[in-house]
Amino acid sequence: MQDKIEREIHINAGLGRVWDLVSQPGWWVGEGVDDGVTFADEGEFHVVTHPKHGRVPIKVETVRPKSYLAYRWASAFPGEDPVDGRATLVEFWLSERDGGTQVRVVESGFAALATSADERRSAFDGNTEGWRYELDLLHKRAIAA
Amino acid sequence: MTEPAEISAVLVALADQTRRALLDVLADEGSASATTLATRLPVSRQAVLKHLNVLTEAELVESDRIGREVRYRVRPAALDASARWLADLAATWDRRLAMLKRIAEAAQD
Repeated sequence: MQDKIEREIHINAGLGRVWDLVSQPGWWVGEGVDDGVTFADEGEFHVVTHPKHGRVPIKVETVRPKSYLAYRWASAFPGEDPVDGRATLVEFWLSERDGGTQVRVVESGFAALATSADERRSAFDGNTEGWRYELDLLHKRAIAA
Repeated sequence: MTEPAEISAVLVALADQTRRALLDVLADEGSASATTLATRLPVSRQAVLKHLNVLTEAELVESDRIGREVRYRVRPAALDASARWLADLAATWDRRLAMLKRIAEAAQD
């Protein structure tokens, strides 16, 4: 059982261009250009401020120019700092492919989120969709039994 | 709405090989006692009970007392909720990557 999410996309743009976008900590918080998102450097954290989601602090873990980036953020705990028990790790791998750029993202560490009752917070809004990890298989077996 | 702490409890519970094996056996059998489970797996009844506690805390199994025996069975709801939560998150990353693609490709034209 893996506590991670892995997604990938091919972009018809040069590696340098994509790197410039992806190396902005928290670029994924907004919904695109002109959505009112601001970025600020607050010492240990880069803070993205979003009109709807509020303050989103992000810690830069690792930067390997034009190939790899690792960030930590408290994705499940809106507004909180990415500390132990709160933070997941978001990693990006970039590579040149077919005249464009391949971007792979992995978000991991969900099993390490704090589990005590008083630390429970509501998390992601949004709709639910299908999933194809082992959980599904296990679930199918469970209901088939 | 499912909370991250609940998902985390499910993922922690599923991170252990013995607990996954226990769930597999329970899913196959429908329901079983700790004694029966201990005969199916290379661990002691004590260890089985410990793992069943973790699985119960994560709401992955439930138990009934039938006479002198406690029988355990799988509760699919928590698995289902975790699967949906993770699916939601995967879809969110798809949207974010699509946004990145749109912006990166637009800038070139």
